[in-house]
Amino acid sequence: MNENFAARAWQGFAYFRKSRPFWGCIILALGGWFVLKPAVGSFAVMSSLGSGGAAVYILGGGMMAAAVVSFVTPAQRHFPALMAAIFSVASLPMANLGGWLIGMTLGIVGSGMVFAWTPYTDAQLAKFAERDARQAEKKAVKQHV
Amino acid sequence: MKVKGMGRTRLGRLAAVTVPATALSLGFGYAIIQGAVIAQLSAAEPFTVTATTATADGLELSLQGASAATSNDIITPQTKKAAKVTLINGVVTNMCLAANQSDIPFLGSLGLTISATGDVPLGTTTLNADSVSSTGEAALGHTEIGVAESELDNQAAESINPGGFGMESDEPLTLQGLNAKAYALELGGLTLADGLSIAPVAGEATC
Repeated sequence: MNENFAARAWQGFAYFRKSRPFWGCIILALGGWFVLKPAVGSFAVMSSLGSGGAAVYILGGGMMAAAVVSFVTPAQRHFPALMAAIFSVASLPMANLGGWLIGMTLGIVGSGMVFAWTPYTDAQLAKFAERDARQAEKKAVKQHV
Repeated sequence: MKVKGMGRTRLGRLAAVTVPATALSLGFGYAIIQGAVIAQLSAAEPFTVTATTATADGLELSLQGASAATSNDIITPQTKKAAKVTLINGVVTNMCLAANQSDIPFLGSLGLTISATGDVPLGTTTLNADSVSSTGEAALGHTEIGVAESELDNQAAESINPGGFGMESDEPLTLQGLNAKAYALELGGLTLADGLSIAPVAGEATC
C-alpha cells in the first residue's frame, strides 16, 4: 500500500516534470537569484544604492518572474523566455557584470531551455504509442516461447 | 510512457536563443573593456578594489552619512557611513577587483576576480565605498578641506547631503597601495593596455 503510494507519487511528479520546461525554469530562476543577490542586503544599504540598485532588482526580479510564469503556465513560455534572455544580456553592463558573470550565464542557458521546450505533437505521440505497442507484443511473444 | 502535454527541449530552438544571446553578451563585454559601455556595479555586500598606485589630476571626497534602519528587523535609525571618492582622469596600476557571493546553498561560496596589469586609465570615476585606504604614501597637491559637498564639481549633480563635509584637491596626486571596500563603481572610459584576466573561483576571492 505504502510502496504503491510512493510509486504513484513519483509517477505524478514525473508527469509534472515532463509537462513543463522544468529544468530550464529552475536554471533561469537561479540565474535571476544570482543577479539579484549582490544588491540584497540590509535596508540601509539598499536605500543607499539608489537607482543603480533598481536596475538590479528589475533585471534579476524579471528573470525570476519569467521563470515562475513559464513554470506555472507552460503555454506562455515564449515571451517570458525571450525577455529573460534580453535581461540576462543587459545584466552584464547594468547589474554587477551580470551577477558576477554567474547569473548572466545561467540566465542565458535557462531562458534558452525554456524557449526550446516544446510539447509533443499528436503525430509524434501516435508514433510513440505504436512503438510501445510493438515492444509489448515482442515481449509477450518471448515470454510465450 | 508519453502522454499528451509532455514535451522535450529542442536543440535548434535552444541554439536560436543562446547563440545570439552569447554573441551579444560577448559584444557587451568587449565594449566594456574598450570603454564604450559603462559597467554599473552596485552591491550591498561590498566588493574589494585594490591598486598598487593611483594617480589623478584631482580628487574629490565627501562623507555621506545616511540615516537608515539598522537592519531589516531592527527599525531604529542608525547612521551608516559611506565615502564617495571621485578621481579626475584617474589612472591606476595593477587594478584588481574581487567580489564574493557567500552562503549559496549546496555550493558554499563563489567569487570572481578581475585583474588588469599595467596602467588602467579610468577617466573620471566615482567610487562609493565603505572604506578607502591608501596603505602606502599619499601625496596630495593643493587641497581644500571642508568644502560643502554640494560645491564639489563632480558630485554636486547627485548631492544627497548638500552641506556635508567635502574635500577637494585640484592638483595631480598619487596614492600608493589603494584598497577600497566599495558598494558602487562605474567602470567607464576603461581602456586596457595589457592583460586582463577574469577568473571565477570556488571559495573566497581575494586580491
